[in-house]
Amino acid sequence: MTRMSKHSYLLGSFFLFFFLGVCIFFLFQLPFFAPVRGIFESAFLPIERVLHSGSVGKLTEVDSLKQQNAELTAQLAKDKQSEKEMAALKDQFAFSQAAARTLLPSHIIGTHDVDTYVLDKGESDGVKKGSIVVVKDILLGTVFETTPHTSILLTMSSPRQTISVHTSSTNALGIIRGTGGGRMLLDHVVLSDHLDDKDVVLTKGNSDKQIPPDLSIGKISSVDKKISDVFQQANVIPLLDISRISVVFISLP
Amino acid sequence: MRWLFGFLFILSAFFEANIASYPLWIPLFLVVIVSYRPEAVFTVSLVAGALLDMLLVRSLGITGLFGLCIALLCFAYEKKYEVRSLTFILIASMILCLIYCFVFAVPGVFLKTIVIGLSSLPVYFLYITAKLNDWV
Repeated sequence: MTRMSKHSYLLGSFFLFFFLGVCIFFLFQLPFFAPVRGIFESAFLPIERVLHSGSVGKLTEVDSLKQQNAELTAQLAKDKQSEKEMAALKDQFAFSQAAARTLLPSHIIGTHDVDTYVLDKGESDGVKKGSIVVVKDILLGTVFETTPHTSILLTMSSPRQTISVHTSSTNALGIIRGTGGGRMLLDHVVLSDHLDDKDVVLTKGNSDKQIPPDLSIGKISSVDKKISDVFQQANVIPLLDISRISVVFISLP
Repeated sequence: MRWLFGFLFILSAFFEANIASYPLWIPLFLVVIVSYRPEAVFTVSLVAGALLDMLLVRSLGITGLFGLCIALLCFAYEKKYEVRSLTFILIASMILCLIYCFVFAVPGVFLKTIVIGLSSLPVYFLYITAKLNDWV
């Protein structure tokens, strides 16, 4: 083969395979081919579960105690909120009932980075984009992407997450923004509101009820308040180390 | 033993998806590029890319297209320079890891680049062993 024909042959085969690749890309965007992907995903899921659980390892006693502590802290914050609501209900004779939710247990089978995890439940199990992921009363994050048998969990510390919140003890209103690397920032809190160190930050709840109110997100680790600023901020750390959890619960609408 | 690199590639794909997000398949893919004909490399790129996309929950085909472009660049580079050397595998692994992390927004770029560069050393020596024993 001459040099020019070798060159043309290489380019020709490249463009042929590139065209095939583009066809594959667009074909699998169609819902018709989702079951095909689902078949392969369901074949790989058991291997992925074993590999990820092997990499996480067994929980040590310290990890179990930390998890128990986080769950009790969240329960305590929720109980405080319930007491406030009961007192308000007694005064006003108003009644509201939280909508019942189905919780789907799901294993973490992979991680892309500190703020992104892969779960082994997907569209075929009823999971939708935006579904919240919890452990007890602790909000871990939301479902960012779904496939037939898997979902991507974006934790609250991801820079793509923002949510309205309030603090448990002082009821200060603000917005939680993820800053990456497992950290969050409580921002837009007016200077007149008081922020306490170690106070628990709870969800405010949004209008479409995707994120219910009074779920724990994290604990304030430090407060940044300057009289010259319009708002004060606080660093918030998650209550749970998600890298040490293997089972989480997806809230189905 | 011809399937050795295929088996290692599948292992590295599961490693990236389920244990730690290090693209260890990059040095392996480079070894496949320098060992096999273009059509075989392009086929491997599409199939292996599809596997990676399924495990990493991405749009199917996107990693395959990335692999095809890498392969074409390497074949074009091969026309003028030596590619079956440790220097090429080492430096190309690090550069491709950098590009991969930027394209797919993978965090921890610099640490991953160094780790992938270091992992290309045993992969290269495995390639040399395979070549000496006529496994590839």
